[in-house]
Amino acid sequence: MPDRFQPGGGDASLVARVAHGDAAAFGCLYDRYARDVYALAAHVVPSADAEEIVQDVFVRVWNKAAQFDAARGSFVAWLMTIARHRVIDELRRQRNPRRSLQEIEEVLMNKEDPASDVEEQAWVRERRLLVLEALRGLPAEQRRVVVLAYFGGLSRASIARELGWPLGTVKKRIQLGLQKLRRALTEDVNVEERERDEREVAR
Amino acid sequence: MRDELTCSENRELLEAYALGALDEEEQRAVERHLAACPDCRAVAAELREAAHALPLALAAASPLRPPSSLKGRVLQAVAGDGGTTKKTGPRRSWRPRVALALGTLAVVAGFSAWNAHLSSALSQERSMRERLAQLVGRQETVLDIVDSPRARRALLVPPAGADSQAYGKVFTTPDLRDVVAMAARLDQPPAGQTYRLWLTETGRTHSPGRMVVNAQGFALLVFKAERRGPAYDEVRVVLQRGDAVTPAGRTVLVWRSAG
Repeated sequence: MPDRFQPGGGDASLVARVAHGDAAAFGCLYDRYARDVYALAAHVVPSADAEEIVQDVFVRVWNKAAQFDAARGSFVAWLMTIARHRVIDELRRQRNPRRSLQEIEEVLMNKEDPASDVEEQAWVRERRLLVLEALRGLPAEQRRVVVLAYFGGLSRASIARELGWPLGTVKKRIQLGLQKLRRALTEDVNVEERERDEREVAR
Repeated sequence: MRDELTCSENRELLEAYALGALDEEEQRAVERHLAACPDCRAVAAELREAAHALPLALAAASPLRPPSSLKGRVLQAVAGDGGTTKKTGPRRSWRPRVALALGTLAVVAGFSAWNAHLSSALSQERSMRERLAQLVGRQETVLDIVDSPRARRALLVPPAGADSQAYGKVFTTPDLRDVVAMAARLDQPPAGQTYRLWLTETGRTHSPGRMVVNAQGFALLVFKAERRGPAYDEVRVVLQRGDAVTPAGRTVLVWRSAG
C-alpha cells in the first residue's frame, strides 16, 4: 500500500523508525495491526493466550525490526509470517483444531455487516474489507482449502484426508483459490501488470 | 531426497507454499529452488502477500478485539528490556483447558444416538430449535451448546402475577462464547413492538438482539458473548418498541442469578 494514503506514515517507514528504537512508531504499528494478529490467534486459542501471542509477536517486531526488508515484501506479510507461525505452533498442540476452523469459516461468511471501530483508520478498514470481499468471492470449496491451510496449518494431504477429497483436487483448489485472491488484491496494479506483459510479448 | 525442481514444477507448489501447506520435504525443495531463481521468487512474493492478507479479512469479519489494556502491557514489555529478547516468567499452560473443551466436544452425540432417547415433548422443542437454527445457519452451534453435558441452563419464567404460559431458556457453556437463547409460547408482538433479550452482567445491561417469534410462538437467538463461559446476573425478554435502546417496556420473561 503506497505511503501517501497512510496518515502517520507508511508501514515500511514506521518499521524503519522502530528499528532505531522509536516507541511512538511502534505504538502506531500496534494500533494498526494488533487487531489482525489478535483475530488470527483468538479464533483458535483461548483469549488469554491470544493476548500473550499478540504480546510475543509485537515484542518480536520490536526486537527484529532491523531485519525487515521492504524490498522482499510488505510489513503486513512479515508481521503475519511471525504471527501465523506462533499461532499454528499453539494450534498444533490441539488434537482437534477442526472446530476452530469451522468457526473461522462461519465468521468469514457471516452475513452481518462487519463492525467498524471508531479508531480504525479508513485505509486500514478499506484494506480489510477488500480482502474479506475477495475471500467471500471465492467458490466455497476454494475458500475452504485456503482457510484450512492458512488458519489451520494443515498440509495438502491433511486437507484431503480431512475433507475426503482427492489430493489432486485439493492441490488444484489451493492453486485456484490463492491465485484468484492475489488477482483480486492487486487489481489496482493490473494496468502496470498488463503493460509489463505487453513489453514481454513485444520482446 | 528427490532431484531439484524445475521452474514449472516449482510454480505448481508456490500457492501451497505461500499458505504454509507443503510438507517439510516439499517446502525445502521449493526454498532451494527459490534461492536460485529470481523469477519464481517474484511470483512467490506476490502469493505470499495474498496469503498473509488473510488475517485482515478475519479481523474485518470477527467481533473479537484485543482488550485496550493490552497495548500498555506490550509497550511496557518492550520498554523494560531495551530491545533485547524478553524472557517472561513461566508460561501459563492452557492445554488443560483445551483438553477439557475437547472432552466436552467428544460427547456431542450423533443424530441417531440422541434421537433415540428423547421424550416426545422435548423432541418437539428440539426439532423446532433445529429447524429454526437451520434457518439462521447456526444449527451446529445450537446443538453443540444445548447438548453439551457442561451446558448451563437458565430457565426464564413470566414475572410474578403475569398471566402467561411462556417460558425461555438460555444456554451457556464454560468453554465457548456462543450463547443460545430460546423462548416458547410467546404471542406475536403488537405492531411496532418487538421482543428483545437483555443481559445484565456486573452491573451492565446490554442487548445481544431481538427474539423474533415464529408462527408457533417460538423464538431463537444465537449470539457470541464477550468472553467464554459468560455468567449473567439477570436475563430478561422485554416487549418494547422496535427501536428501543434500553430495557424499558414490559418484561415477559425473566431469570435472576441465585447468587
